Amino acid sequence: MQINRKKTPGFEEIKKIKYIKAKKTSLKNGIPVHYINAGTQDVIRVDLLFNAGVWFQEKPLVSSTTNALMGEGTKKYNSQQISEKFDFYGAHFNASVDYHAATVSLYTLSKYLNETLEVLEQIVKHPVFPIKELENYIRNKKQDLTIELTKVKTQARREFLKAIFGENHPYGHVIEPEDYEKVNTKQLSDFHKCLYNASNCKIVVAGKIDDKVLKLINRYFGGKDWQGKENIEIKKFAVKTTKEKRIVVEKKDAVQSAIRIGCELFSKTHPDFIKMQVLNTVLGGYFGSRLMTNIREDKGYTYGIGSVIFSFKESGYFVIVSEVGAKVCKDAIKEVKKELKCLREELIPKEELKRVKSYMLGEMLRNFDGPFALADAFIGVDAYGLKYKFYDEFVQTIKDVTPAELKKLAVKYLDDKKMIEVIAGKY
Amino acid sequence: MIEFKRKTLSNGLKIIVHTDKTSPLAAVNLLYNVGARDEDPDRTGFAHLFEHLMFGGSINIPSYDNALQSAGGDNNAFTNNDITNYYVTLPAENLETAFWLESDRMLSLAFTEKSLEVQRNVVIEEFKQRYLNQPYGDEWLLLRPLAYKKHPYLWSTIGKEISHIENARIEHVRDFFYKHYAPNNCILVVSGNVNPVKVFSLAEKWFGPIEKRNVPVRNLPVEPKQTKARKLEVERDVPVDSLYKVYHMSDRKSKDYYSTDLLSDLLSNGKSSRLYQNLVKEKKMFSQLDAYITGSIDAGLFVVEGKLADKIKMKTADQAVVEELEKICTKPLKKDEFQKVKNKVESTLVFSEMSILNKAMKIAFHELIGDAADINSEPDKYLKVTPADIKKIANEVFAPTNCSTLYYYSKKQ
Repeated sequence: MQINRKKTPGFEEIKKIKYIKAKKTSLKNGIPVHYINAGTQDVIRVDLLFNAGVWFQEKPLVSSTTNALMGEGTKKYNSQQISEKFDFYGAHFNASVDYHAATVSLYTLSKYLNETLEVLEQIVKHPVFPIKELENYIRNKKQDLTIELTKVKTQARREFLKAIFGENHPYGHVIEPEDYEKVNTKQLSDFHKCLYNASNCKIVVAGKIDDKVLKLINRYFGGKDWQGKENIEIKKFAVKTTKEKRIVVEKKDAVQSAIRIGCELFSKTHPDFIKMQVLNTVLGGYFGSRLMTNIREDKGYTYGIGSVIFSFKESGYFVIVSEVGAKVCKDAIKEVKKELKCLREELIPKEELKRVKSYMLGEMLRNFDGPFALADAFIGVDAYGLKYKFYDEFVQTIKDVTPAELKKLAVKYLDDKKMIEVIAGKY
Repeated sequence: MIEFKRKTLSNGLKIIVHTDKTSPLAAVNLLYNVGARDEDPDRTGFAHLFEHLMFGGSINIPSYDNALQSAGGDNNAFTNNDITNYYVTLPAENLETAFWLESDRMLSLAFTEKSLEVQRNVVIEEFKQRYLNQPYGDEWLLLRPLAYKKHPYLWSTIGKEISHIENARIEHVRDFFYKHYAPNNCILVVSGNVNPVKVFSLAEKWFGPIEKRNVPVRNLPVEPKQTKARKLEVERDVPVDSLYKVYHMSDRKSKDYYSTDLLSDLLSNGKSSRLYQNLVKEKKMFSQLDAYITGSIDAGLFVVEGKLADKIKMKTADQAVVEELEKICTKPLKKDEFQKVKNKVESTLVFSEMSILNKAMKIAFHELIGDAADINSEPDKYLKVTPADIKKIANEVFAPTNCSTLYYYSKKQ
């Protein structure tokens, strides 16, 4: 049988994205629980989310340090006992903060849920913030940061955020090594007391979920023993973008320069958000993007270049990110601007746009694959006050958006004269 | 338990299919049995450079990526010292697109000068980005030739030096392709929402017509036993001193591999592990300290590496590590401690089987080193390890003469 290798064997367009939605229930004390029963493995992930991110802190590092130290000693267990317990059951405990939310997560085999939840309860409700653990944490984190600060990409990222949002805005604030000296245990226990309580909590559970799982969660977190203040005050911060257009951080021996070029954008809730995702994908959001095709695959200036839209609750930004050979830094930036100009002045060819649309829909399928991905997808809308409807609109908008609409958006949002350039390394 | 079906085509291509109907996707993984260890010592970095060229257009299809993205697919690849592995995920109904693309680049590449020239530059930038322009980026460029004297693991996947990449010519590329890229040197694994019968027939249709090639039999120099401790000291523009100790260990197929892997878990898997508890938290000698194995197919390395805490002297830190290693060689393990690492084996396994792509990669790797079915029997091999095995292997591996030490000093001091 002779086959035609020059021609695609044909493929189906993705028409609809089917995915499992989170179901909602609540604990006896009113904490909302969103659960996703999916997957083949007997595993469970439990996330407790609190409005206790960076936005809510009075002093630098208080939010992240509180979150990180909750697992380092409680009334009942010391730090070593906690890690021994989790490790013994093959469970994984993770604590993280972003600008708005603080999360404590437990990954466990279903059969050890009871034993591991018992430890999680202690961590969430009764942390004691031992001074010894704080000192250890500070010592190590401070050193990590010193190492991090020698990287050109870190330098560029920090200067860029400061420039876009201003240092007094939570999105623009960056940590300095000496900030670590100023954190004390009282700040941590106060922050914990105020924000880590049932009234400020939401739970997301994913994996093999049945009534027994929900009962156990109720047992450990459903009591009235950890209520707090309702309606936490949410502060306002003003964005103060710098007037400078180019910021250069010199590093004399750099063989590559890190570049960041971008501007403030908006949150996920903005009406142009989804269409901008399409435009961004064309420009620098996938391997076949224009930036990759031109600056890596045609010129060979870099190992990688891309553009990203970061969206947070109150704002967001657009940024082009790369590390390029120090000698070709200026040329690379020139090419970036050429690509932006092209999006503003010319319509995206139909074939290219079709490919981007297919790729994005495929990406959505990948983002909904598996119970943990489904949990992330839920959090990805819920954190912004959006509903699952967002994803349906996402699919529809991707399908419908036209080259003319995208050109208009490029004129509106991708004007390099309004962007800030940061170069760390040699320029 | 991962179930699968297998078939071998007459050209030698092995196909393994694992069905998982809970996913809307299919994952396609092609493992080519070629890595940096197969390179000419004067032309290193080639397997990896070649991986880049595999995206530069094949004989009938000018752009691999465009064609795949149009079908909603995504892909990537990695090269290490042992293998080159390519993988695709795409909507299950578009599976054939992956077969079309992958079979064409196995058939032949376009071999254009332009693609070679650009990818040479891209790889040179990768070399700079990952190995030269990062603090501690050159650690493995120093450690490999310290630990290996004969075996080709002595160079990194990126290559010994940039000039090897600069000197790559199109005839070397063509030669490398026909030597190593062949149906009889590849394992194709498909997992996800797929029907094995359909997969086998697609494989026959697209890969069947590709002829078997003459793949040279691998005959690598064996690394002679190290009989004397080795040491290297360097000074770099980094903020913090760093210590590395690497020890020779068994190959991937040896029974000892499992005890050595558990040994590294006892020392360093999780916050409750010995090195973290004793040297980071109690003695405060390090800010980070890890122990792990390289897991390479030929005899590998057991690595201990850490960043020193402020004001701690390199020798003091080194001595503290040695004492911890001696402890595990001489004193009995706590019962709970041993049970803990075994439990962790089970949970790591269960979590790793959540993703169809992960499963496909693991199946392919097991097939390469023995039999895909080992993916299911491997946990038992871990569970059979006894405390006596751990002690025995610790004494063998941590012999002082088996060690290469790197003192990586911060210039400031």
